[in-house]
Amino acid sequence: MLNSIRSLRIAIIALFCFTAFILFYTLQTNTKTAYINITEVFNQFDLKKQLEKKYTVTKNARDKVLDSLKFNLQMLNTKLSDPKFRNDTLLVYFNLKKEEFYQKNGEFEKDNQNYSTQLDSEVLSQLNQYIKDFGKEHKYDYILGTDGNGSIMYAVDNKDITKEIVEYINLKYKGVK
Amino acid sequence: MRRFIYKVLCAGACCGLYISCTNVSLNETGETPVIPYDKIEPNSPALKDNYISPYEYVEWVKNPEHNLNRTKEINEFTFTLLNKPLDYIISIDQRKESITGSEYTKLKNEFGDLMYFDFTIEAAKAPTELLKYKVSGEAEYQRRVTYFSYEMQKDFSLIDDLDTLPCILFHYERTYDIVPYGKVLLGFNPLKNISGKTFEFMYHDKVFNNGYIKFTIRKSDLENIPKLKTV
Repeated sequence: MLNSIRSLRIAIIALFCFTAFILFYTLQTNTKTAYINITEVFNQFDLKKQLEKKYTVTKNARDKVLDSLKFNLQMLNTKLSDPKFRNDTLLVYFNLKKEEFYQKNGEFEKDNQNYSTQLDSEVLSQLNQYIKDFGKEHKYDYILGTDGNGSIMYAVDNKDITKEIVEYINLKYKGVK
Repeated sequence: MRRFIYKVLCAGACCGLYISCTNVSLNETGETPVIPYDKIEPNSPALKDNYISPYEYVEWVKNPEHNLNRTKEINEFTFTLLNKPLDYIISIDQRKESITGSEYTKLKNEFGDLMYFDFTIEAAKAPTELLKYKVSGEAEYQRRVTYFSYEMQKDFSLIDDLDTLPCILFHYERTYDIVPYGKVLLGFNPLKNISGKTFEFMYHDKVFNNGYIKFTIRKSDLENIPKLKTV
């Protein structure tokens, strides 16, 4: 009787140890993974919003210059279409203005493109760093990014840390954290 | 057993008395309690009446726990902002163990009431000089030199809820090939009425494409800075 109780106790302890070992092993090997909606994170990042405003101001100023040149061209064109005002000097002047418009338009398009690329690179440079910091701080093995192009086909909702990341990166950007 | 309990209680009381005596002592006049600077908790109200020596003052300001010396890492760059109270500048300027009251007043008037900062940019893999980091050639290097010497000032500002202050004092310490970081000394007019609990220090990094670099400064951290002890 005593022997059977003892062997039962040993069996229970052994089972407990085995369960603990399995649990520990699972926890050790289990990778911590989450995903974020890249587009949402990018759009909600305060630095992106601020730089976007700056870009819009510059672009609007350039658009105004182009609008003014375009208006002048239209006026000249109207004048030229009237035989009363048409002469060679006016035609030369019109062509010069037209060339100036195309040249400025090309320049501004190129500048806008370069400026936009530069600002995007400024945003991404900080964004990547803060996501890395978040991952390290919260001990993630992987933070995956989804933008609806099929990179992640399915994940449970509680693995979506987009909101948490947005809050974190904006605090980091402000220099509070 | 009872005797043992009495002994333990007595030892505990003695220890308590000893700790309280070593942590708080009286200053020369015997009026204001002086707490050793390394024992001061950030935001402690005790700081308001705390006077510390120039050496201790410099150490206190440099201690990151007190939020006057902050760093931010973005990829391979480390940006450091050191908020320099006037007493810190006086301590650094004098490099003495003690400063007299008259020296202190004279220097305080000399430095004025600006808000002073040191801003440092360090690139982890910079060869010998920050301006040479990933530079494409001599022309770009010269552009960087011009920017850091004359144009960079306009990219610094202090931002309160109601006000944006430009940098009015600027000096770039050019170190050539001696150190792999760049340091700028900055001065701003003081924000007279800080409307919120915080305000922001901002720099727009256009050279290394890191965007706006911000540091939020808490009003409470500035209110709890100790004072410089004079003799």
